[in-house]
Amino acid sequence: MSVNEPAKQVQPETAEAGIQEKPVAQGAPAAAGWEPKIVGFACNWCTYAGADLAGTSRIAYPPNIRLIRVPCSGRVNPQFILRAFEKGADGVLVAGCHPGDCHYSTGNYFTRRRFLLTKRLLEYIGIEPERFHARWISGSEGPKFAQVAQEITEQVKALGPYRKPQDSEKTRDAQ
Amino acid sequence: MAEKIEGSQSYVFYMDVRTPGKNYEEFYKRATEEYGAKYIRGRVSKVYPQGDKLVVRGEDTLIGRQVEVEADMVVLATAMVAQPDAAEVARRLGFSYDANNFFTEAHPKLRPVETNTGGIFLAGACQGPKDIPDTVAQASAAAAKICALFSKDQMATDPMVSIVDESKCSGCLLCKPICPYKAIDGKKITERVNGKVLERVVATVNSGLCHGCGACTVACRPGALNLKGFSNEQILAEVEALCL
Repeated sequence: MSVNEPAKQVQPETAEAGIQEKPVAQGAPAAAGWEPKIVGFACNWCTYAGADLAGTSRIAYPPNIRLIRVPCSGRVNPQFILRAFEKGADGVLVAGCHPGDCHYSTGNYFTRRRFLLTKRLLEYIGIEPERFHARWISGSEGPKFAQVAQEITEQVKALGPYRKPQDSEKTRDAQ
Repeated sequence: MAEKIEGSQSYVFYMDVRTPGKNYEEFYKRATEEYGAKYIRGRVSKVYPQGDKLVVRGEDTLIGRQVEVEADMVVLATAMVAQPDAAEVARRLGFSYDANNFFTEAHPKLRPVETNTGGIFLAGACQGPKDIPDTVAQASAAAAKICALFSKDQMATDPMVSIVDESKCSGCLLCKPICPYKAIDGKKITERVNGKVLERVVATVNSGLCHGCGACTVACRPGALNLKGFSNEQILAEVEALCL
């Protein structure tokens, strides 16, 4: 049963993250045992397969990253990223095929250009650009997916929970 | 050569001899054994005219000596290149081509004779350097694909295609150039606004060509384009659920 050990190790963390989620969403300071919430948009053809490979090869990676499958990284509207931050995500990852390898020929070229701008937009509206990452992970790069998940989780952990600007909190409270 | 011109003698300068293909070794064997072609291992340093002949000077690395061959005709083993207007053809028809202007297939292993644009197929050296058997094989495959396309009255496609909400579409057609499959086009619609009949242009998606990548949905400023199965509402709902 030694193969199952890494999977077991991550389970308590998931449970812990579940308990700690509420205060984070309210913008509370980083409590002990706080776990970041990271929304990952994974392209169906490369990154989703890569994540699958990471799973089937039993590579342990932080459970903080939660994937949303999209047909192509070019499907990801910057609006989705803003919505994720608005709803309390601490980090966002957009991952797709390597440039030139897009299943739909050109999708990730648009992604690349679009998210250079998105990063600047996030910076402008007061979200640390380190909370947002766009990466290229192919279907055969299971270990790379795990490594990226690890890296991003560490970076976001170092930044602490994402706190929404004061005014947006007020409007939400009013609602 | 010896087959066409009796009594001729051919010399081949080579670095390594490889015959890539089934039974191609026969060609090499026939050339050397039957027709007596001389294979010289080494590079050619110079070709210059002398009288009405061409002198090829090179090195035979197996005996370590310079050799000179007086030849009536010199054939250079140059690289096979694409047609000069290949890129223009690909651009006009809307499928991709590579850095060497050879047309690219939709998938090197799984869709080797199709382009990314539905209904356009590739056969022969336009797709990459090829000899005759390979060309014939690819052409047969392309023909079979076309027959399959025509064998049905209706086309079965993926249900996850883009749809246009005509009431929201402003007709800017920004989605048209972003579509890698040329599936989006403008169409004129007539609508009644305040009792007046107006004609305007809106985008329309050819569901037979659309592969459902969703690039257009992001490019659409009024948010009129949506992708069935991965709609904006569905993805946003997923985002919200994950952030709970």
